[in-house]
Amino acid sequence: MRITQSIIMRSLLQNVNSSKENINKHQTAIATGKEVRNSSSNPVRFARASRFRKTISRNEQYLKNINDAKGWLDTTTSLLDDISSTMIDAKEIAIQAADESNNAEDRRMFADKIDSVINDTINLANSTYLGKYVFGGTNTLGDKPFSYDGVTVTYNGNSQNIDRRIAENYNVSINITGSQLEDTNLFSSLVDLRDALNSNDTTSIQSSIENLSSTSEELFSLTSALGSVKNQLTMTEKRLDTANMNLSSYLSQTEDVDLSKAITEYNAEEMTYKAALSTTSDAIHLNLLEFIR
Amino acid sequence: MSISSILNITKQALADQRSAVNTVAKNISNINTDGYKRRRIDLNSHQAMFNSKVTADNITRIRQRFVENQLFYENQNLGKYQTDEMIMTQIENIFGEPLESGLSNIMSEFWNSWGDLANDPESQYARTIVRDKGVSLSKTFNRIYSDLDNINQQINKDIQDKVNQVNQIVDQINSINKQVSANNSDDLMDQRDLLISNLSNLINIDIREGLNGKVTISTDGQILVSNGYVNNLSVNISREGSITTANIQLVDGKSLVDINSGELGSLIEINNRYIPDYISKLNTLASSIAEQVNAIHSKGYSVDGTTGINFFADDVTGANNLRVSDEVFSDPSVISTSSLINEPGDSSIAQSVFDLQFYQGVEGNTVFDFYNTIIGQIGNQVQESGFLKKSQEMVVQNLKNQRDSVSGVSLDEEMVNLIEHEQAYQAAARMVSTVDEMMQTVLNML
Repeated sequence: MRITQSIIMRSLLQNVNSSKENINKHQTAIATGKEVRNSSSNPVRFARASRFRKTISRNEQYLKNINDAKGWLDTTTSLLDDISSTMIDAKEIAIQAADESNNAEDRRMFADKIDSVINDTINLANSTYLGKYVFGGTNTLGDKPFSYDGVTVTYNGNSQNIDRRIAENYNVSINITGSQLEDTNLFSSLVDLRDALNSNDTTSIQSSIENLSSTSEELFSLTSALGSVKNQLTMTEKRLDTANMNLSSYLSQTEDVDLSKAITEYNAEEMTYKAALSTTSDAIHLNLLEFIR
Repeated sequence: MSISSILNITKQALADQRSAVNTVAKNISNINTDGYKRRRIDLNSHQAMFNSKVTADNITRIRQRFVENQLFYENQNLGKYQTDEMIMTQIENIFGEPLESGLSNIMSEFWNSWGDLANDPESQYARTIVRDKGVSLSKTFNRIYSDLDNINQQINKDIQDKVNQVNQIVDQINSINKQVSANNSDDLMDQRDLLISNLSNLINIDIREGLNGKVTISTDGQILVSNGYVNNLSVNISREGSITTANIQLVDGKSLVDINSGELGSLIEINNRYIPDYISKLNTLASSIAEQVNAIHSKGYSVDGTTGINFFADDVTGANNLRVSDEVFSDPSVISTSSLINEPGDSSIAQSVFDLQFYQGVEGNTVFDFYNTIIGQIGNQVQESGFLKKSQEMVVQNLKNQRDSVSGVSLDEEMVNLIEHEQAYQAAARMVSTVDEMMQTVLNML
């Protein structure tokens, strides 16, 4: 083939340019740490990476939900514990009052004590978490869930559960409603005890003590139900954490650069580039003009 | 034979070699001229015996017609792939994936804000966040739409420019055609080849070279320039809503011309096919998000008990007018979370909106899958056009090398020619002095 100056220059430029292009490609990959930086660099892998990213972000939302739910559960559990301990106080008062040495006057004093226990319990049952009533069902705002007119206790909330999504198609109820509290006979046994003390009815006082015991047991079973919900949360949290760890490593495998490979390729390309440059500078001067004088 | 006749031949030889050196000089000075084809001087045999003439006026332009025509053809594809890659890369950048400002991240944030609201359905703060994320989702759709629209208008302008360029080149070729028939100038032919090469970068053309040296150029079977006849192209851009269609016609005859290659072919394909496709998919996505969110949202209740309110404006038709409804925009407290009135702790509506992202409600896909399909499609097109461009560059380069191997100027060759002719010139000059001496000798004899 007859080789002209233009052919030589064209090939040299082409070699230098393509080397430069490859160097730039490897260099950006190494600098950014990403081999798949946009859809066009590898559409299939980019689409996969997008799905991984989406799933990771969704799981992070679930983890946030779990965290919020745990806060609510912990508050509820500690409130139930507090209520249980007021039950124990009430029971102690009842046992003291049941003693034969007490007369009607003494028992009225004990009744006043029980009355303040009732008020304490009402306050606990009306507690809020982040400004929301804990025991009001889904009536979390507005009127307090329980009101006490000095004679009877009324529940103003509803019996709706508060649900939280903690994983795909997986909801858990995180609240104890006021109705569930009422079902433990919490207030009725206290009110009955107070009335029995006021009327100095020792038989009723005795049966109230038993009622208080069964209320305590039922409160305890509510607490343990919450405990099992919290277990579910913790297990799901662990599962999501593991899933996200795996997904992150898949994501990295999909879009990140294999550094050792990239650096090796970069070095090889650098050598090619240098060779192209040095042959270019030689070849440009290579013609007859250099030799005839 | 007289001595003076020898002088005559030498005189001719001197002129002859001078003109050969002149050709070498012309070749060397045009070594880097695009489209220049080297000249060769054909010297006829010098007959000193009889009173013959030396003819040195036969300068030939060395060319390889087959390779040249091939080059014109491959140039069309190169122009197309280059433009394809350039504009598709611009379009890919508009979508800006996987940056923070990209739609997939903004959509994730929007839906996660509903997840946060579902955790805290009584909160006004969480509602403000949901409203803000809704606004930024809308703005992102609006931005991508208007960027696509801008690029579309830019392309419309480019199409007009390219058509003007085509017409200019066609007119120039026509005027060269006329001159060539009067005067068979090599320089004009070079210039014409260069014009045809530029034209082949712009549109798909067929070239026929007639015996009279004139060329006939046609596109899509319609003659643009032929023996004294010239026809220009015109462009007709029609706009329907957000979609523009560009049609190329002949100025006379008004028949449509299918330009499917070259830079113009690429611009028209992107303008008429790809951009409308992306815009309509984007519109589908935006309106379906608005529709689905509204359908759930309007059924729910806010903390204050308001209901029946749309989250997105109810007249959303696409990505260009997606926006949060005025009610929600001015007062985020009307955002509904609960499926029952006066149950602020219930978050089933917020939860349902959150779950929408997993619902296959956009032509059988989830919003994310639908969007990723668009991104994948664009990525594929950028990748493919880049690949085609690269291989086409190699094809064109090889053809250019083949052409230059015949038509290009080789410096070595020209230097050898120069020395050869220089020496011949010196020899001829020596002839003159020899003849002079001979004349002296003859004169001295008298």
